[in-house]
Amino acid sequence: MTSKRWKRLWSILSIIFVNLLYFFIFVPRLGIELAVSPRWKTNINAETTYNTNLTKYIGYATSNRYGYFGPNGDIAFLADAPNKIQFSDNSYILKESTPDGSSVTLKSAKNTAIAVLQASSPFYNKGKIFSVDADGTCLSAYNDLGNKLWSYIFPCHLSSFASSNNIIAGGTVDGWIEGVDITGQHVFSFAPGGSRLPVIVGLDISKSGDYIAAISGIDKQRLVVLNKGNNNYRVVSHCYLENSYREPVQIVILDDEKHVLYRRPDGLGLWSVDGKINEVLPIKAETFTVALNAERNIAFLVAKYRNKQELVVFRIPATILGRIALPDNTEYFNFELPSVYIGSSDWIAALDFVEK
Amino acid sequence: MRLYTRKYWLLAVILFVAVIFGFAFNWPVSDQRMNLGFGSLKDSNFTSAFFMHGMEFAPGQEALKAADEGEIIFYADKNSLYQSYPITSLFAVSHKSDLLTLYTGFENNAFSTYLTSVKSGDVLGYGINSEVNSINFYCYDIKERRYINPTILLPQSLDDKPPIIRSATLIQDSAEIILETQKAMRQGQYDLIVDCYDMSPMGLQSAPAKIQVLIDGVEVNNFVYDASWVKAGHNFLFSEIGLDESLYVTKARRIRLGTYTFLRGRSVITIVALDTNNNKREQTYSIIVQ
Repeated sequence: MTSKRWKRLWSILSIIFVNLLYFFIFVPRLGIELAVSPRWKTNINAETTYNTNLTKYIGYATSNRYGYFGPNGDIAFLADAPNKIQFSDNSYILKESTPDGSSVTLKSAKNTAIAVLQASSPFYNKGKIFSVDADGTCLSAYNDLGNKLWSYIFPCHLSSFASSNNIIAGGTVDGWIEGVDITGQHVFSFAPGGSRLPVIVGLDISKSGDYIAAISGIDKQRLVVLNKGNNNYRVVSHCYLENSYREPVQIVILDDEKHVLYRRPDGLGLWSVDGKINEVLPIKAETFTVALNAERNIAFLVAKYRNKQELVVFRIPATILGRIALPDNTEYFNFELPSVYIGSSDWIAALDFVEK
Repeated sequence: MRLYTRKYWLLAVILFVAVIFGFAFNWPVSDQRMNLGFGSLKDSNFTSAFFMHGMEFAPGQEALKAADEGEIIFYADKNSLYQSYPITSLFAVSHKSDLLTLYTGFENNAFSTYLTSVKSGDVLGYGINSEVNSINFYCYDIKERRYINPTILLPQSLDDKPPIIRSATLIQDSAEIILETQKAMRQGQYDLIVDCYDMSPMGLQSAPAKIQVLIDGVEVNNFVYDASWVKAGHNFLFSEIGLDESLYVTKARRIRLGTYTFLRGRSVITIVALDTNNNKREQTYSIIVQ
C-alpha cells in the first residue's frame, strides 16, 4: 500500500475511533424522567363535608370562593365571596360592608377572627400582610396578629412591587427602585436609567434579598439585575430587550437565586443573574406561577395566556420536559413540590410529580 | 417646627413658561366635578387624615381625558400589580418639561393598549359606575421628584367664594384656647391650629391655595399649596418651607400653622386664606397675654 493510502486509512480509522470514544465514554447521562400523577380530586358542592382538625392548612381562593384544605384533600371550610379574597396559608382577610362603611377582619385558617384590621387596601405578599393607604403611595406593614408595624410613603406612585424576608421594594412610575427594610426604614434608592423614558414595569427580590431584578424603562427597555453590596445595590448584569412594555410585566427570581424568569412577547425569558445565560422558553404567558427543584435543576410552571392554562416542566435553562393543558376553568394554583394543587370554584385537585 | 429651606427655581420656571407661553394642561374631567383638590385632608375608616397629592373627582362614568399631549409610559387597568399590590387602575403619561400626569380610578379594559401616545383631550377611559370609586389626577415633576398642585397648570375654574376659616385654636400641652371666644391666656409657646378649607365645586371641604399667618401685622408664616414630596418615607409640603406633613396635619383633620411664643401684652393674630382665584378670607383675633 502506498504511503498516501496508509495516510487516508489512518485518517478514517482515527475518525471512527474518536466517534466511538465520544459515544461510549463521554456520552451525556440521560435525564430523570418525570411523570405527573393525580393524587386526589375533591368536588365542591352542597354535600362537601368539613374536617376542622387538620394538621396542615393550605389556603385556597378563586374569584368567588375561598377556604382551606389539607394535603390529603380534607376541606377545613369553604365560603362564597363576591371577589377574590386575600389569603395566605395561615390567615385570610375578609372585607365586609357594614352600615358605617366597611370592616376589614383578619381571620385564621381555622376561620376564627384574629383582629379587625385598620387597613384600607390590605394584601398578602410572600405570606406577610401589607396595606396600601393614602393616595396609593403609602405602604403599611402588619404582623400576624393584625397590628400595624410601620408605614412608609413612596416618593411616587408604584408601577411594581416586591418583598423578601428582609427587604421590601417599590418600583415607581418615574423609574426608581425604592428599598425599605422590615422595620420600615429607607434602605436605598436606585434609578437604573439607560432608557429614554424611565419607569419600572416589573420587579422581584430574591428570597435572601441579595438580588433584585427589574424590567426598566421604555426605549430601550432593559432587564436589570442588582446585587447587594456592602452599602447599596449595584448592577451586576443587564440586557436591552427588543420590546417596550408599558404595562405590568411579571419577573421572578427563582429560588436558587441564580436565574430570572420574565415575560416576553415571544415566550418566557430565562436570564442568569451573572448574565451568562440568556434563553427564551417557547411558553406564551401573561402571568405565571413557578416553583423550582434546585437539587434537580427542574422548574415547574403554570403559565396563563388569555383563558388557557398549562403546566410546564423544564430543566434549567431551557429544556422543556413536558407540558399539560389544564382545564379552562382552573383558577387556583399552588406549588408545594413535589406536588401542585390546582382548582376552580367547583373542585380542588392534587397532582404529584414522580420520578420514573 | 422643622424647617427645610431650598430654592425651587425649577417650579418658578414651570410657572413662568405656563404663564408666558400658555403652556397649560386641560381638565381631565369637568372642573365642576372636582371633589377634593391638592392639599385636601382626606381620611377613611381606617387611616388618619392625610394630605392629598392630587385631585379627586366625583364618582361616575365620566370620560377621563388626557390633560395634554404626551407619551404613555405605564398603563394598568386591573385591581392589582403583580405580587398583589392593590391599585384602582393607573395611567401615567409623560409630557414635556419633565412632567408626568397620573390618573387612577377608571374602569378596567377601557383603553386600547396598543397606543403609545395621546393628544390633549383624548379619552383615556371612563370612571367606574359606583358611589365609592373616584378618578384621581396627579401632576408630577420627574426631575425634582415631587407632586405639583395641578391647579397651577390647569385653567382657572369659575369660583367667586372665598375659603372658610371655621376655627382657630392655640394649644399648649393639653390646654386649648379657642380664639373666637377666649381672649386671655398665659404667656408661653403655643401651636396655632386651624380648621380652614375651600369648598369644592361638588360641595366638599377642599384645600385653599395659600394660608398666611400674621402676628401684630407681620407675616410670620406663608403656606403655599404648590408641591409635596417624599424623603426617606416621610411626606414634605410647600416648596418655600419644606414642612413635614406630620407636623402640619393633625389627627382631628385640622392644620397646624406653626408654633409661636406670646409674651405679656396684647397681640393680634391674622389668618389669611386664599383660593386659586385669589378669593380671600381674612380673620383677625385679638388676645391678651397675662
